[in-house]
Amino acid sequence: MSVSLSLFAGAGQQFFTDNGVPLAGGLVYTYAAGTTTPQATYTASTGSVANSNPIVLDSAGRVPYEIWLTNNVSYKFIVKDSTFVQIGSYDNLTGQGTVLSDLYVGGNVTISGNLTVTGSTIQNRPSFSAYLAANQSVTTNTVTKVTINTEEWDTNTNFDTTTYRFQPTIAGYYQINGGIYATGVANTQSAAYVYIYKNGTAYKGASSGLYSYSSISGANGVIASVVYLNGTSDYVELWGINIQTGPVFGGGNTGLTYFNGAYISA
Amino acid sequence: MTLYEKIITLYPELKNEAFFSNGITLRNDSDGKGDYIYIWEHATLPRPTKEQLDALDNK
Repeated sequence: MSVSLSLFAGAGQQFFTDNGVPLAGGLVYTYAAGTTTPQATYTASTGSVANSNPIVLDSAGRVPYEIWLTNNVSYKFIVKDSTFVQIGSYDNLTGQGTVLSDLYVGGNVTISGNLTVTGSTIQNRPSFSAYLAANQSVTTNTVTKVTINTEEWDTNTNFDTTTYRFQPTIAGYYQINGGIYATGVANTQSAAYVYIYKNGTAYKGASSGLYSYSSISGANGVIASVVYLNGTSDYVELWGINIQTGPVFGGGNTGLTYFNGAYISA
Repeated sequence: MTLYEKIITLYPELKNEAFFSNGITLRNDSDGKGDYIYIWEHATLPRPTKEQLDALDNK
């Protein structure tokens, strides 16, 4: 039995009459909230031994044992004197550690200890993955935004397939990855580069290698970085350079030229 | 003729060079407006004028 200490008369509570006399032999009845259906309480945190119902106060008007309540259950308490005259009624009470079915907090929450989650964690963390659906012709030696235009997924609709940018609406640190298959006329490529652009300027870059016109038709350049995005105006894009005759960024499937990312922390 | 080709025509010595290694960045925002000179900080070669580049359209 999962129980929590009652906030009402939980431990060592002493009751008095209106005249300040200890409520010796007083009675504490416990019901399900809003009803007259008896609801059990327990003498300890083990939740294994039930209190009597009513609980009979001792000669000093104190509860004889602690009062522990079943978690996730709301109670009604009624206090009477030893002659069954009602002194008070208290409804919709829960234990101090009651498990809530739902909790909505309008402000901040500070947790000094650990947080254990047995269900799903925070929802709606932005994540996206998209790719270039067809070859994109570019000009050699010209840094060009990759027209990533086909989504695999986009959990928060934060990737725009017309501007080719990811602009999340939740602030935080994001893992951003991209790959470009730079190709063109065989044996003419000297280099290719791939960049993550943040807010229109190069943020991180990488080279697919320098080939000195080696006998290849293309190369894959990949880039990966953690990027902080403010959740409002910040955005990232995939850019590249292909120094080659007849250069293109190769498209057509999810694994050639692609761009993806996901929220990792606040 | 692409912007790159025009520049190579004006400055043949840049052929086979990585532009950005020489202080030059040509850029294309993929917005339909085409290539443009984003940075020109070459140590010796002056930035081509619009007239020089436009003149090559007729060749």
